Amino acid sequence: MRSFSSPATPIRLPLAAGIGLRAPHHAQVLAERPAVAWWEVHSENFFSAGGAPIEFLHRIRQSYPLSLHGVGLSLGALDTLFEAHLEKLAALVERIEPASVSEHLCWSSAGARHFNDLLPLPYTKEALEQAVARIDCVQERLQRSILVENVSSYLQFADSMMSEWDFLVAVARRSGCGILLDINNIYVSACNHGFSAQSYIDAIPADLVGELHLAGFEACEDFLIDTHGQPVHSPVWDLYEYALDQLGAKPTLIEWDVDIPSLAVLQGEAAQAERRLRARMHVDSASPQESGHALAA
Amino acid sequence: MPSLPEVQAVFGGALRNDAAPGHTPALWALFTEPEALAERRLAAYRRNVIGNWRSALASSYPVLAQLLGAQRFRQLADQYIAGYPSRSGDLNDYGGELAAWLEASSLSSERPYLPDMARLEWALLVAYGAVDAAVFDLAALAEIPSALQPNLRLHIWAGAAFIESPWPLVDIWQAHQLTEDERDSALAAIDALSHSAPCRALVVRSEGRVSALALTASEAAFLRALQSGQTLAEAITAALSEDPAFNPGATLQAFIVQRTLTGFSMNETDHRL
Repeated sequence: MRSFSSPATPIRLPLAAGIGLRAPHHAQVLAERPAVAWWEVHSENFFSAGGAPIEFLHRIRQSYPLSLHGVGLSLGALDTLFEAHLEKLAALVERIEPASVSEHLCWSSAGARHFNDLLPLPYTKEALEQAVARIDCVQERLQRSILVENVSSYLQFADSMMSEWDFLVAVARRSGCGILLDINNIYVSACNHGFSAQSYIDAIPADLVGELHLAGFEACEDFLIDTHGQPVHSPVWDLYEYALDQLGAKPTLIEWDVDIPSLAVLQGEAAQAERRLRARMHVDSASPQESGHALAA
Repeated sequence: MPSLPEVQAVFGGALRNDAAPGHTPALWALFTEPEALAERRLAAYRRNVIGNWRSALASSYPVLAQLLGAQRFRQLADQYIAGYPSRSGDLNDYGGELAAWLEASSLSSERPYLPDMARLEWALLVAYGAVDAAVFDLAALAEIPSALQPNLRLHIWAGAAFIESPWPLVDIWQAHQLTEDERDSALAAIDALSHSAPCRALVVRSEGRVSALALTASEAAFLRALQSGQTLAEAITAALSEDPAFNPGATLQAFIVQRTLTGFSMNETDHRL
């Protein structure tokens, strides 16, 4: 498999807590330039040819490290929309030169229809090959490695032949991409499907992980939904600490996508992540042999 | 074992808001969860998918949403969603056919200006993200001998949209840019069903903000002529036939300042000269 690993495209996000930047805070961020280590935006919101969105992103990029996080490539599908979407992403990456580019390990489309949601894959050989083929295409087109994120899920497929974590690692190993490990998604799926969240994290090689995500979920009857509309829940903070112990310090993002609170609230969440990250880095500096690794796929 | 495209076709079919309820063996066979549990969890996906499209429509058509009220707009959105699947992984692209769909909807017999308002709101959205307008090179224009200027073909910004409607579109749109109190009195002054003042709406963008302006009949004739590839002289003639008092210099300047006109070229004959 082709590899676009460092040094060609090193992961350049700071080893610090960043925040998902959404439209309600755009003007405030430009006006106040808050002390935030890095930002992540949804790539698709900046696909336009010109105008205010792309102008905004250029200005953010001048002052902060930036991650482009896609929600629409549908890496695990065979739809007819992929190539046009990839071209738009490639144009944006070329214009913005972000520190990091990431997508979800999921499917969102079938035929010429898009569902604009992150749907779970059956963990089969066929799905593995499809995801790897598309990630190859993306990395070839962008000439850089990307990170792929584990999504949360509410259903499991009867035909799955392997665990989600084995599938995720196999995709990363075979395509040469890195992993964006969403701690909240692991927690949500672990509760929904009854597996051990710690075992999931134990199975992920630290050197594949380029970024961590944290967000809030909501309980819906007897299962959890990944809404990104709440503060990070206490068991997810605990799992984050476990992940830092296992994987080493990693760039970490606070995501909040519905009922978006004030920027100050998001900064408070980021500060909580930052405190745990620094505690882990302090351990690293005290015992260098345990330090987290840079991404080297 | 169904292939990946088969799995996704069956799963995707169950996400439609008009998905036939009932017990589809091929669907429930996909999942490890028992049918009743799988049904509830699948409903969470369906709610999310439909909710994303509803939100996209509400965000792209804020004036339509206000005109109809939340409940009726949601009904409209759900009918549209059932008939028009998303064709893009960029949710911002969803909803471009709403005007065409509204033309055929029963809502339009009651409020016949709705399709044109939808057309205007979509045009504003397209303009918002359209390629940045080139700055019209006035110095280069000044160097064109005046004898050749009538033959110039003026370039219109790619994001500019020009919508002619029998309804007072721009007045209604502008009223919805006001605060709620101001809006009510502004709307009260507009007879939305009045045919007395046909509207020629031009979509412009300034400093990243898009807006709709009303053109006079002569300005509209001028722009329509330029859009169809006619020369400056032909466009001026068209405008003068609407209004003998048409002022070409002032209109050109206004269109250049608002970035509706971005440049010019000579036709082939002129290039040889």
